[in-house]
Amino acid sequence: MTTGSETMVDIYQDPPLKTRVRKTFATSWKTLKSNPNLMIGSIILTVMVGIAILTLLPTASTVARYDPTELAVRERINGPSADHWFGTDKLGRDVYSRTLHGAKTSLYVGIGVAIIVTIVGTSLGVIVGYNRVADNIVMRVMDGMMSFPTLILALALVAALGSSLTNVIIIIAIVDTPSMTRVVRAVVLSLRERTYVDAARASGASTKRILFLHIAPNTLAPVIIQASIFFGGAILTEAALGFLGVGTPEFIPSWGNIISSGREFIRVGFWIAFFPGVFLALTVFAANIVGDGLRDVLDPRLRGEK
Amino acid sequence: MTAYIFKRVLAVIPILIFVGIATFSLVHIAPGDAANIMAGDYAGPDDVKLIRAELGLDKPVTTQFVEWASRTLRGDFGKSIYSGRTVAELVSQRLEPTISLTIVGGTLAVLLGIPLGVFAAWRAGSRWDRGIQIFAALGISVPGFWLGFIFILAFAVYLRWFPVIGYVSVTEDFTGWIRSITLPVSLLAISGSSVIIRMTRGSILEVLREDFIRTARAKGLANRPVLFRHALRAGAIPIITVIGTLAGALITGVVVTETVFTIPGLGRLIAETVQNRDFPVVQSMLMLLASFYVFINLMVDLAYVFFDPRVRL
Repeated sequence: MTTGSETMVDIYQDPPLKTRVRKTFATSWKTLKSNPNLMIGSIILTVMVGIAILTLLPTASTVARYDPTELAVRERINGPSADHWFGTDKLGRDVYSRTLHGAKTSLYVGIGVAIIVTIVGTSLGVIVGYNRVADNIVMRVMDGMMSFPTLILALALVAALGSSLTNVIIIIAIVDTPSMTRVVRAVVLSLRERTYVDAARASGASTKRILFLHIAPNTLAPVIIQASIFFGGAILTEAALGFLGVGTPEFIPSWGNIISSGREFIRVGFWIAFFPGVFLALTVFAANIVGDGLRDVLDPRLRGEK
Repeated sequence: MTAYIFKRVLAVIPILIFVGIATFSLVHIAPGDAANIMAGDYAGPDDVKLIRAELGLDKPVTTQFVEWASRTLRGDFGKSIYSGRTVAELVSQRLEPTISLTIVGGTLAVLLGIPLGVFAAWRAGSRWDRGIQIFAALGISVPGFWLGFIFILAFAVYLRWFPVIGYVSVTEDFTGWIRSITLPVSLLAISGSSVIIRMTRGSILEVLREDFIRTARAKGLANRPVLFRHALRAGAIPIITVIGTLAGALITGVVVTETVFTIPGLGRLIAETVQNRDFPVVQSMLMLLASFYVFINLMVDLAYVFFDPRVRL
């Protein structure tokens, strides 16, 4: 920051960064308080992230109590007890610790997919929204990809690429990218007709400058909303692939493959599938209501209406 | 109008070509050699060679594509590497359960979803609205396979109202059929109607905000005619889109549902063949389901013509 207070007041200049950050924090707290969806959703997600971080650190054994891969053949399929809060599975592994460690896998997938889709989808969307030629090529491919039902495309890609954790993330990201691109493209198409873009162009701004300084930041709201939806969707898809027996490999505990392993023991050990399912449902629910909350807050068309 | 229909139908061709190329490429994007993957870990070099010849992988890619495309266009989808049966045979055997589930489930989803969505929008902000919205949010968040598990646990294992697994053909035993599809269909109806509720509520809310609704109110029209004569008619257009989305949700739902309830349908078939990496069947299923999905969305777009006079111009 070189401009001091003694320079001419430029009404078009943004307030200093410090003020902006403080303002943002103040408003986000106010927004959180006024929007129960956002509040409840963020609390649940924070707890899940907390669990995931604790199981990553050396604190894992104190939080999760057992090694999620430790076998105890004598304690196979024991119901919930003081020793094993969520019971044990067919190999005597502690379901509680497997569920907590599963949080890590799910969040890893959710965050990974959200980040990849946001970066790729936004870049593609901004480019095709501004360039006719690119638009024709890229959007035809995206239309083609969207003509596959999502889970079916994911399944087919799993068949081709195999199902490591990284592959699962990449596959779900590939499946989700077209809709993100579409959303960003639509926003860019409407933004480029705005007067402020004309004004920028008239004052001599280059296309690159207009794209990255004037248009890209304004796609932020819809991108954030979409990203939160894809975050939850990715967790759900990973779990569905795991449940179908083609997701994250068995040695990495994930909510999907724990539920899948509990399916055959429904009569004698419902707890194996029940508890991880509660965590999964809660997390996806939280992601969805955060998405809804963000839409209420960020979408200016709905602002101020109840 | 004819021009619009013509244009829309023609637009399907490049999409189907893309679907074909993508499906064909599936075998080729597999790292290593698809034949090796399919043969498994215990196969000798002869087995791999056999599978390679079976898949035609020993020929140049272009020849392979032309052969594959011409076979597919003639309706010959090849045969399963595992069971040796033709894809046509496998699909026709498994068609009935899937059709039963999707038709009954989809119909229930529409019958449940649209009225609830309209009602929620009409009473926006009320306790009813909040309740319906929570139902819809849970319906899209709670994983179908887990909810199905709970259903089996509660209604089949403990209450013994329904069979735990399996499917009874409608031609064999009608009450048995109803009993065998009740739980799976409820699962599909819950997730499907949740998607519909959210979209319907959104589009009706948007319509209710329009000027012509205010005009209708201003001229003293009662609530009921405003909703039924003005809002619903205008809101119907975006609601039709729901059918396309529903088709996608049902295809996904049926894969999961058939696995939960061990129903031998197309969804189970695709999950099994992906597990076995039975490429010819996976490819055919991908092709079939994508074409079906494209066809449904085409129908939805064409339905616009009849509902929205603006498109006709």
